[in-house]
Amino acid sequence: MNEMENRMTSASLEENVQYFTETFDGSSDLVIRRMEICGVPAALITMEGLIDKLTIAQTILNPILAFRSEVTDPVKLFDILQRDVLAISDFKTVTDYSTALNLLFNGFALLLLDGCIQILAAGTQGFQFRSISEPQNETTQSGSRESFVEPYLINMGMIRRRIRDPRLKFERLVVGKRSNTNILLCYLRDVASDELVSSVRGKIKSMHLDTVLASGYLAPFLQKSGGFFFRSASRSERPDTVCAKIGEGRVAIIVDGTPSALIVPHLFVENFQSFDDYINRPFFAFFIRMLKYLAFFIALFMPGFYVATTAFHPELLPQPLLLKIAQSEATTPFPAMLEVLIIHIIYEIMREAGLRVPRPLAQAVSIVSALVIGDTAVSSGLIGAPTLMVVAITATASYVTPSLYEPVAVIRLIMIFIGGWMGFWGLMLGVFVVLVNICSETSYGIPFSAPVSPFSRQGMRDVFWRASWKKLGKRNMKVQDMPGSKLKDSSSGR
Amino acid sequence: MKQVVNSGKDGTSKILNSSQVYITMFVSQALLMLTMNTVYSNGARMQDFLISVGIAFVLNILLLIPTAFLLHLHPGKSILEISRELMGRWAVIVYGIYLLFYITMASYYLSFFELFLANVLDPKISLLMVATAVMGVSAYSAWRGLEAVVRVGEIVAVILVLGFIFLLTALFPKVESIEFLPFFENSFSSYMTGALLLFSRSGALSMVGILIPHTRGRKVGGFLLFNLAFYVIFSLILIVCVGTMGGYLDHWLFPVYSASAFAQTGLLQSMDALFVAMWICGLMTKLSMDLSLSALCCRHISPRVKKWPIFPIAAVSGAISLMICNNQAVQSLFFSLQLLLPILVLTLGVIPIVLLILCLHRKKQEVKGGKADAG
Amino acid sequence: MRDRRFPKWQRDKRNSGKIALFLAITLVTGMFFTGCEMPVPLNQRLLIRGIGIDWENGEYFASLQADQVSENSQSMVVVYTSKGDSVLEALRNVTKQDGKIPQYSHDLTVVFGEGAAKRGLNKMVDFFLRNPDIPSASVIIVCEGRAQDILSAEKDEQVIPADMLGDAVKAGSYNGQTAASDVASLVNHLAGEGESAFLPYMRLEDGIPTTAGTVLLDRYGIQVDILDDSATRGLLLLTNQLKNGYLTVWLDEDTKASLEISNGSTAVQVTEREGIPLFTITYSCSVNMTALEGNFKDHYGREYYDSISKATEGELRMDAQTALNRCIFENKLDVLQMGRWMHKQMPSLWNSWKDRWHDAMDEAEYVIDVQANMQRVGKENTPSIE
Repeated sequence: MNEMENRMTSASLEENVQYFTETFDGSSDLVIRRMEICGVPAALITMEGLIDKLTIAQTILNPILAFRSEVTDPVKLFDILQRDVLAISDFKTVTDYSTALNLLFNGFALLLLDGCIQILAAGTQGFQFRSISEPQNETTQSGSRESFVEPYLINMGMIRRRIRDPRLKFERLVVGKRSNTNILLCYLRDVASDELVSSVRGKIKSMHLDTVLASGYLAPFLQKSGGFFFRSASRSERPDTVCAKIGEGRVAIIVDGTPSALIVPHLFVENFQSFDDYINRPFFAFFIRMLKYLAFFIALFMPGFYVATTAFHPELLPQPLLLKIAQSEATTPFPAMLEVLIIHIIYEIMREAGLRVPRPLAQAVSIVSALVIGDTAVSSGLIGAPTLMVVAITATASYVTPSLYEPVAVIRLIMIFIGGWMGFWGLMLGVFVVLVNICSETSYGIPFSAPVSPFSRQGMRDVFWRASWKKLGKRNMKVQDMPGSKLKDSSSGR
Repeated sequence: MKQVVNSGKDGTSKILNSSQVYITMFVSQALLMLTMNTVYSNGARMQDFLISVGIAFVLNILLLIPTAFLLHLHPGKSILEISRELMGRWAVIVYGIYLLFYITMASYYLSFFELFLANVLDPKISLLMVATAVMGVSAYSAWRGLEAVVRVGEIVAVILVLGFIFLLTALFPKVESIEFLPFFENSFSSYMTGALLLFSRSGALSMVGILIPHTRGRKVGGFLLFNLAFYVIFSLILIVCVGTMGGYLDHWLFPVYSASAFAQTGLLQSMDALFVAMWICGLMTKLSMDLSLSALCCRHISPRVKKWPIFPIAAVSGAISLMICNNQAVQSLFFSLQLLLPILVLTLGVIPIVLLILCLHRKKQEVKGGKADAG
Repeated sequence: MRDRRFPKWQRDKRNSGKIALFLAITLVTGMFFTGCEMPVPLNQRLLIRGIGIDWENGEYFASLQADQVSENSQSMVVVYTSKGDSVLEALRNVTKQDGKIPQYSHDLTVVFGEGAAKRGLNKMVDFFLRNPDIPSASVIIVCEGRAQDILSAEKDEQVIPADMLGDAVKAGSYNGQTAASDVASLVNHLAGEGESAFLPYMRLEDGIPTTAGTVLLDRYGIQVDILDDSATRGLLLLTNQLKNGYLTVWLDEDTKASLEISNGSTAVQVTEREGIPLFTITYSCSVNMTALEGNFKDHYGREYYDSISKATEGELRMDAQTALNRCIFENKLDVLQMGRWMHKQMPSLWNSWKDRWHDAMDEAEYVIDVQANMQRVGKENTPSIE
């Protein structure tokens, strides 16, 4: 908003209406309804598509039209209207154009009276939005089936319904010079570290973006970038998961228009935690966690290991397996590294196509992909069956930890190159680089590899195994309690 | 678990725990376990090396006694800081010696790995590529900071311990008592030589004087535990390797590798891949730490210097390691007691003793001065 | 020093550019610094299952049994043979026929022909010791005739894979019928106090390789004697390798018992009697009866427990004594590692004997004691013993 729009409103109705008309330059979604209230000229300004017309009719227009009074003073009339006449629960009085415009874009109706400098903004939001549905990316077997939706107020309500604590605070900020997107910082005042909250707030306020259309726009400002493979801000579309993380002292950021929330700080081990772990019994949760870690290593290193061993260190493989691979290599034209790379790239193309393909064509595309890769490529001798097997297992394993898919997909390709050029020892160098990358970063002052390294026995209760709820409930471990953390406790909580 | 961030003048902070540093030391020392051979045992039987291991265990403790006294007199300060305080601008000699020490150790361990690759794993490999890749990754790791190296060390330590457990478990059923012969059949000098050869490669001990003063936690107890754990595991590895393969191992340059190749667990045909993985992880941790500490020495020499010396130091270490591999004379210099033992004793023994003498002398002067003022 | 003329984001951009350039240079130089051949595809490697070494007419003959993978992805076991002045040369000459790089299997089996064994394995073992590609756990066999014939033996018109020979030896070792030996054991025996070794012996019976006892080797690795199956069992007993096995004993003229031995262990105790070492070899095991072949109408009472035990002990003692006589007294070969036991338990006595041990080992005294503990009678369908 420029300085001109920060100016105060006028007492003249015509000036105010002219301001809005000039500002929107005849945009067809601006609706101005002129009327007289007890002889005083008035106007109701709304944005088409953002308001509920029935609400306006029932709570504003009908009461106004039925209102009779002898009062002619616009200021007194304004007070009577807002106090005794209008049947609305959410209203504000505005005296500057900037706030008025902001409220207009948020579905408020503006009531202007000639002779009164104040504008009454009534909450009449009624835009259409997608109903609450099941999460697409974070499914659970026995947890809640609700996921976030686009309007941030609905999401706020979902969180509030789960944490009924007055110390749960929602702090609204506006980002984007042009989009003026509403975002909410959600945290528990007595649990979250003050430094963390102010740090997040500061980073958001220091963003200089024109438009913010999704939480992904904020993510680079909130997390480490440049040379760090992994995310240090997580994303979740589940309200229950977000509430759990808020309870640990994290800050959730809800962006209007995005059906997910960003959560900071985010540690590496959290990628292997899911909501089901806390519903299942500990021994099963342990089994599933171990499976996830194993799947991660398979997804990251198996293709590179396969290429390294077949190319440089066949002595590491058992003889029968060696023979099978040799038989397959004898019939295929490409060396192992190239084969693995080709299959991976084809797989990534298929995956991306699967995301973008129009629904009517989805079946046809999947049949073609399956036939091309699954059958024809192998039977024609272009690709070997062992290679396909390796890539298939790798691809499947990638989805056990979907939050790690991005770094895994890229690092995996690098590992394939390294394995094909340098062999097993080169692969181990790659493993070490990944390890250093994980251990060297911090997320808002907390080591990304905590509580594994630096080690904390208390913190490990929810890493490789999930301790029972009796133990977990004895002491609520906050994120700033992680070993190596530079964050202090909340001042409200002391 | 709250810590006060207290950034020391040398860039370290009390964020580190002494247990983290000792675990990283264990990783560095574990390379001795993986790389032991009859060169260490001075040609004697591998079994007799058990005696040398016991002697080295005691030597480690004895060597660090002056350092312990010195650190006790100057709590919260490292050897480098103490030398600046006591020697003024002459402390640059101490920094230079430490720098040379780390370069020597890094070159030695890297050259050993190159020899392994060239002799066993892939005889046609380019050692230049190996040196470049290994030092490049180590430099990257050192660049990320000391904290990062120590955290990586914690994870690598777990890998190493699990690997050793695997090896021990796989080899233990094959141990035959007949492979063990009576001890003390050789002269004591051969045991001592073996102990000194092992001791002279214990470069990780320098971390006690440089990093431990800036950590929290139990320092003395931690060191004793580290030393004990290392030598117990070392002894177990020796016992199991000798008990399984006996004198056969004396013919190999890398007997633990041969033993791991011999081991079978059913699931794994052999464990040589595990051995290589353990070695590389341990080596990278050690080299990263050496480079970090070298950069620390450079920072003490010139405070304006930040982290960039890591790269030239890495290049120099890589170059020296190639020289060791390609030149017989240089190789025998590094692989014998001629170079490593004097430099280790100088760095970890002589320097602390000299500083201790200077410290005590200064205290005496202060006491005398105090008495004169009172008089 | 940071260049504060530029905003941080520009400095970061330049730094990231430098990092990208550095990585690009490293990547490119990494490609060209290999200084070696590109990796060899698996189908260009000769997957070797077994090696055979023969010595004939002053030359070494090497036989390599390998898997040959054809372009139609079929594989078959083939045997390559070549010759040379040394083992290494003979093996390397194989690559001239195929052009592939040798890749030795984990389950490698090495077969020495009779000629090679009689020439002396010491001259050949060095190759297997120094070559890191040869696994230490490779099974070593000596055969009758030529190793090439053993490796080329066919069954159902297909070459019998060499690892099956190794498996047969290992299985026989588990059943107390064959002495298993690998590279490490062979070297330890030849380099040890006894300076002699033993290896499993194989011959072709009806064209099929079959284990047929044990070969004894002297300090030069020269084949000196061959033990039959029962003497082999005795050898295994004396060297603590008879953990399990099968035995048949006669209880009386008409009754034969088939027994299973388990949990066998041998302890050697060395004492001195007037400067002469006395070796007391004690073997203990558990015995289970698996079959009793007699008259089903006869009733076998409890007294048969003792007789079975005694018969077992007698049989095993006889086998052990036979092996001892053949090794120590007839051939003066300390394959039993008695010298090592003396060194281990009485080093001072060993010091006085070590120089003459090879010639004087038959002057020592040997006592064999076998204790067989009867466990259970066996299956329901055998004639009952109370």
